[in-house]
Amino acid sequence: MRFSTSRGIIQHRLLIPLTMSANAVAVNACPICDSDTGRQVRTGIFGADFAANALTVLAPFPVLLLLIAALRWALPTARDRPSDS
Amino acid sequence: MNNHSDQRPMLTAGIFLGVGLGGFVDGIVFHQILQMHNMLSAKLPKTSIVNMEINMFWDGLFHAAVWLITAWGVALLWRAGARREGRWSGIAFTGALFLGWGLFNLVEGVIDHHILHLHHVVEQHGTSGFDYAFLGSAIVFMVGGWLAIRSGSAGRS
Repeated sequence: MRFSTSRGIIQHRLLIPLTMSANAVAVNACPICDSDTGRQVRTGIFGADFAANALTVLAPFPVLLLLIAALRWALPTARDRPSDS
Repeated sequence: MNNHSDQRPMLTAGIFLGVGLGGFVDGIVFHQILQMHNMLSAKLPKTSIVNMEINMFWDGLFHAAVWLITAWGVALLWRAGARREGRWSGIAFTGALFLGWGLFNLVEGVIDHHILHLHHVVEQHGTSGFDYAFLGSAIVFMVGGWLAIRSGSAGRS
């Protein structure tokens, strides 16, 4: 019983640093992280393709706004509908 | 005698909200819950943590734009509600929401999936029937929404 307890503690001592290091990698993978992965992410986002990517990602929105503006004039208006009462 | 009940401000707000909420459905369901694609996943496959992080950034920009459209819709709805002469119809407003959702699916589907090839509905299949089903949903939502608007505008509310 005592053997299994001490073995469990040993296993925990091994697992905790492993878990912490795994978490550290995950936590450091972000655009503002000071890590190798963070730097690669920043380079990937703000590299030569940044403007092109931003334009393509946002491309549908001006088109949507134009279509909404066009639709607004096609919407039915009840302005001159005879009143119900 | 005329009742001067112009529904267009309320319907325009509904279309804005439909576009915004439709965009959130796309982002939440396809990008986050099912993780079938991300904004640039055809260009940057999700094969490394770096590519996944870069895709997450562009997903965020997309969500920010969709949030602005939604906020604009809320502001327009507020203004429409402040008008005394406005006539409100739940059916017409729901129709406007679906018209906006369909409009979002149509424009996003055509531009992102078929013209720019930024991503596809199921990324691992590339251009597939799922992309055309997405466009089909756009047509269904737009036609259904338009019919609901007409029905709500013709009825009393």
